[in-house]
Amino acid sequence: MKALCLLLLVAGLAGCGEDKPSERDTRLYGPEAFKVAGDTAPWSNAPFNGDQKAWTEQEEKRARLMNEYSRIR
Amino acid sequence: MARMRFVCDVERCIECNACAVACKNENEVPWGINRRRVVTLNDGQPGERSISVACMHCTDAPCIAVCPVNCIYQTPEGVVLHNKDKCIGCGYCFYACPFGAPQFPQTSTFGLRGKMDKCTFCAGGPEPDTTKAEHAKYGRNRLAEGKLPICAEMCSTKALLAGDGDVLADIMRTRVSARGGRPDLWGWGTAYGPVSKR
Repeated sequence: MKALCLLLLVAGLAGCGEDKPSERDTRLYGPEAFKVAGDTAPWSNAPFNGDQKAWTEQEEKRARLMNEYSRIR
Repeated sequence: MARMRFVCDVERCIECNACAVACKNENEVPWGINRRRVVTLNDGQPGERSISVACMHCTDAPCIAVCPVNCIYQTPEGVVLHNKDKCIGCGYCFYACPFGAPQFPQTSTFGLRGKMDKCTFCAGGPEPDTTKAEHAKYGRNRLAEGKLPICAEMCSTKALLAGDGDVLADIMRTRVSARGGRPDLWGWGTAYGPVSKR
């Protein structure tokens, strides 16, 4: 009985020593998250072939086309 | 670096549902899943407003925080995507999302939901860009083609805008000054935080 109590005490204390996992570290936030997830940047393939600046300019141009005030004035 | 965002100008939305139809057609979204939908508030009463709602690709996305298998991630341009191969269909993201964006294809025995599906900002997923595999799982990757989401580009009244947050803010500023009213950027406070942090 004494041995059993001792065993339970040791097992219980072993649980107290467990490190708390830092879950936030595994979340996929931030600029490098897509690489961890196995994705590639949208400008990495054809037609942009890695030219991030060209892609950004194209996206901005496309977004500005949605402003009809720039067309009617 | 561009920060991709959606904005729905509630003064302009006429509830035509073209955004929802265009999304379903472009991405070949299966029956029962609506990545985008139009919600009408105060229907039939004075002050009726329609809002086109989908995943807002939040800056600090709560779905990423709650996913137990870490299948949801953020791209450098701020788009929130997910990996269907890792998704276990638990539905936590659905409960966490303030916009009700995550969709599940089925409700069957034992509450099985299937893999989560949501708006990808027409940016596909972790599969190689513009491949058949990516299209089959996530829909078309228009961002990799230098285009913007089809829902916004198809919007006839340009109520729904998509693109870099700075450009959208410029467009909304022009509109608001032209019509002489305050901007009503529905959902921006929830999705992108207070003005000082955007």
